[in-house]
Amino acid sequence: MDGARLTAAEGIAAPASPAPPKIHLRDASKRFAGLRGGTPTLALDRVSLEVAEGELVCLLGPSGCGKSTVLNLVAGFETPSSGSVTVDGRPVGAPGPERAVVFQQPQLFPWLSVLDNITFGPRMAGVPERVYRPEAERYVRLIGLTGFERHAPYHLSGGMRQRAALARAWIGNPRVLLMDEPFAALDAQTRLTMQELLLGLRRQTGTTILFVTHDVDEALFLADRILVMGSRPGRVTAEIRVPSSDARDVDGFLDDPVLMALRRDVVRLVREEARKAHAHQPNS
Amino acid sequence: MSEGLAGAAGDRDGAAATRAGAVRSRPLVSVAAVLAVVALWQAAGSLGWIGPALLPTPAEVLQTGRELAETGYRQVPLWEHILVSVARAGVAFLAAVLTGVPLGLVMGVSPTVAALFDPFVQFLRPLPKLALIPLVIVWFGIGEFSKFFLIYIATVLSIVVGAAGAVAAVGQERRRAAAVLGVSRYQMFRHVLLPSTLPELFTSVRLALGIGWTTLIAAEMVAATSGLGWMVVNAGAYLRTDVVMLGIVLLGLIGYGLDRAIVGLQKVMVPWTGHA
Ligand SMILES: Nc1ncnc2c1ncn2[C@@H]1O[C@H](COP(=O)(O)OP(=O)(O)OP(=O)(O)O)[C@@H](O)[C@H]1O
Ligand SMILES: [Mg+2]
Repeated sequence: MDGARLTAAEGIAAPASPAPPKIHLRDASKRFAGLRGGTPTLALDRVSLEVAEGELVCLLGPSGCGKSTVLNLVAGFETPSSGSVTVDGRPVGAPGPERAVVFQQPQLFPWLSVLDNITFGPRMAGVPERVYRPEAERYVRLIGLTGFERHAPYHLSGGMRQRAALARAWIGNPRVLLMDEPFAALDAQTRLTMQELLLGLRRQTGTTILFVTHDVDEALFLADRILVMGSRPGRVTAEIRVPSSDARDVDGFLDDPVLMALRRDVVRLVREEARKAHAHQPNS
Repeated sequence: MSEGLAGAAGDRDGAAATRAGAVRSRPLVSVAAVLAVVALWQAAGSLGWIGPALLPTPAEVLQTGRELAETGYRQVPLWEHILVSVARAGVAFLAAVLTGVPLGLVMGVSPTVAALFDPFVQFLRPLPKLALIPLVIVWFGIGEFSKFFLIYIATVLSIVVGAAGAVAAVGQERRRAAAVLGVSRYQMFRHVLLPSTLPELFTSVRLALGIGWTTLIAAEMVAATSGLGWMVVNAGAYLRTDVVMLGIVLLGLIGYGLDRAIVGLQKVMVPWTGHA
């Protein structure tokens, strides 16, 4: 479908999007009022970005550059101060299941079993059990929590909880899935498993994903495209297309010389942004 | 009292395995400590360290208890004194929970309602309720309603404040997690905020129970003709230290029992206490 994208292994390309965008930010700015009358923060300064149908885009950048703010705008938690944010061409309204979010903390409800957590959205929407039940069972199988359906979330490991959170977000067939450093709190081994699980689920569903991370390797491993962000004010400073391969796995990933060359570029870009961010805030 | 809190903290710090063993061995330590104090108390009397008029021994208190159980105190059977006190506290406290929890929750959800009630709640809550006793007697006499009113007013305010605070303490991320799952305003309240506040609700209800029990005794001391509080004051006037002692022990045991009952209820109703 998009030949240029498959061969653009050289990395940094000019921002361009061929397919009609699923997520579209146009000159979106976000200004937060300063605390106690202090100077307001310009968290995002005229950010434009597009995410195509079925694409997995990673937002990468130093702390405080506005990655979460971008996600919060798309989710509908925040409204842009200026510019527009659309999903499927429609301006984003109140948060809802068509724009699912997975947070760094799983945010499962401790008073509900794993299964009741996963089916929470459909149950609240009044979907009949005979409809959501088979779906839930399918997701429980896909995330590998068979046998744990009746467990309380606090009896599961961190990785298992995050898997349940993933299923809970996915079961509503979201138009887009927004993930804010969802694996950052997990240990390295579990994180790898979760990344592979995420790619596996996405292969089955084709869901469009906007994924925030600090971790260059995570971004390279998951993303079709990486948007590097800089801060003060927050904006997108570079775009990197990651050469796709259908059967991506961790081992092949580490051996791939093209990817490793790309990794050097990305690390350099991110370091630069972090350095600039630091230079702009000498007293913080 | 401390077991519920210690248990929750133990699970949170991840040393659950070692802590569980320590908790299991602790009741023995507690029982031994109580027995030692009772033995010391008995010895103090039996060996003549302290005169019986000042400190009756446990055996004497037990004997008094047996007598009062049979013949009553001032023509009123002992069980009736106990029942009257528990019933007064129970009715007023239940009323406080049934009105205070909903009001506090609504204040937690609606800034308008909060602004409406907040000045009164904030003024009355730190006010020592015992200062109201003279006024209450003038208004309502020394009948049952005075006691009900005092206990109610003493407990309901801290329940209201606790419930409103519990709603405010529900994290933004949990609210957002629920919002993206598509809940309505009502569902947010009923299926997310309400269960989220339950652990804290139990804590404030438990604290309020202690306040209520204390207030009850104070109320009975000045404005009653029956009940454990009245019995203690009356017996003190006649230097019946054994009856005073018996009353104190009973008050303590009942207070402890009520607290355990709430902790037990919490374990059944809110097993996720301490798990975020
Ligand atoms: N609700 C808010 N009120 C005021 N300032 C805010 C608010 N949310 C974010 N900011 C500010 O906006 C900027 C961007 O924040 P944001 O959380 O989007 O950064 P981030 O890239 O997600 O950082 P991190 O990697 O640490 O999560 C920061 O300077 C932050 O202090
Ligand atoms: Mg963030």
